[in-house]
Amino acid sequence: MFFSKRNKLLKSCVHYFNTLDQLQIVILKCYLRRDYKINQTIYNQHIHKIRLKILKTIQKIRCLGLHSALIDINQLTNLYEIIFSLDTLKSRVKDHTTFEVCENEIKHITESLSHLLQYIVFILNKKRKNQHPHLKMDALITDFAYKTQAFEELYRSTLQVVSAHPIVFLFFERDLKALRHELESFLLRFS
Amino acid sequence: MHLQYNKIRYLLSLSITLFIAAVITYFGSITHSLLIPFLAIYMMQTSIGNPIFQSMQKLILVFFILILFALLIHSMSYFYLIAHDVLIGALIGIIANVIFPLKQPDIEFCNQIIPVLRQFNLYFNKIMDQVLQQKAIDASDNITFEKTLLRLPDWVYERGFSQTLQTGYQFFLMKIEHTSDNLFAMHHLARFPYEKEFIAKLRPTFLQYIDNVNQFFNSLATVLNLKTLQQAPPDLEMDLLNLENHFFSIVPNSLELIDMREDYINLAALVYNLKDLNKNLIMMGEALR
Repeated sequence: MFFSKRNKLLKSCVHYFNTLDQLQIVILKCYLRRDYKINQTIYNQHIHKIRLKILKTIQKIRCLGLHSALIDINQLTNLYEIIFSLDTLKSRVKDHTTFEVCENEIKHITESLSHLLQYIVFILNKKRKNQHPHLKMDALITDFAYKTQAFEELYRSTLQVVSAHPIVFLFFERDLKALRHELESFLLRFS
Repeated sequence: MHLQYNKIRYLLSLSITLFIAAVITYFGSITHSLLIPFLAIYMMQTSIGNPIFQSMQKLILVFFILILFALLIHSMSYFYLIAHDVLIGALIGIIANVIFPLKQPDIEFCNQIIPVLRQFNLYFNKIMDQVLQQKAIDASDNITFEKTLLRLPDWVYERGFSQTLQTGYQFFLMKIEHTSDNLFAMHHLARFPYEKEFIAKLRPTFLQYIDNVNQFFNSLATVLNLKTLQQAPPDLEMDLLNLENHFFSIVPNSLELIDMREDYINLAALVYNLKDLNKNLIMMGEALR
């Protein structure tokens, strides 16, 4: 009985992190797509569908993991909140071509974040099968930190000059750091 | 009251459709099975404001399955027999949907949006309480907010929804979703500890702004309720300008100096989220004019 509940909880967490990965890909893709302004509604509908999936999954996790020491629900809530916070940049930057300056950096960030989230999925799947995975999270966390740092350097060297409101890029970069911190502490619970 | 009326309306249209389908099955069905009533009910299951397009989609799907089935059992005559009943059933369902539309999209959109706006307002107040009093939000508030977002009238996004209404409703819904992103971002920022003295200095301006945002939310709900406003909605732009000026009189208005302190950045991000919230609320207000 206990194991089945634990397994259900881990399965929901796997689904949660997979959906979180989809969400970050769609959100960050909006910055890279040049047709975003024309096809705004289509992109928003896509985000809407993933938003519903995330919210349904977190509700399920709340039911299953109410008294579980395995998962910190507050942490999971904070994770999706940060990802939605990353989405606020697109309405703040009026000139969408500004994103062309940081296109490569955002592309690298989304790839690195995706690897990290998929690694969490892998660990949770191993936990479901009661296996103890050999944790190699340092390399992935460092890679994500490195990609965030590259964005920070670009912000200090170029975005501060070319952007009409450079402060919004600073918020974006801080959100990425907060995300890294939350993911790191989530992974530490499993080490 | 409205829900009960909808239920009665739904049951009535269902009964009439079933009655007609049963009579036609008795007199005109070839297979003499329950195919006609079943298809009629199945065709009636469409989302709000989308009776014909979705019924047609369903009909194409049924025919596709039917052809596949007929090919599997190598009997096209069986397909023609069933197709007769399927077409009659589908026709009854589509006509019933057009004659007795279960919900009017304009009324239903307002009915679904008003509770959402009220919940957004409540959640906004809880977040600001967390910032000003450094008291964490209850988990139940998060759950309620998440459940509210799951109840958004997203049928306006569906293909086949009235072209005349779609653009406006989609715009309104998009603004609602952007506001929810800002509220999520604000809740994330509210988790950080802030210096008490610093918050105390900002408190009066924040409180004034919160009060006016509450009034604006109420005004939006009143207009959506098709009632007349007793007083003009507050000038949110002016309030935000005051808030911003006050904030940057306490916090240095320089990117390099803000970057030096974590709480400066977080509070500046909070002010920017309030700015976005402001913009979204004003746009929603203008859309309702």
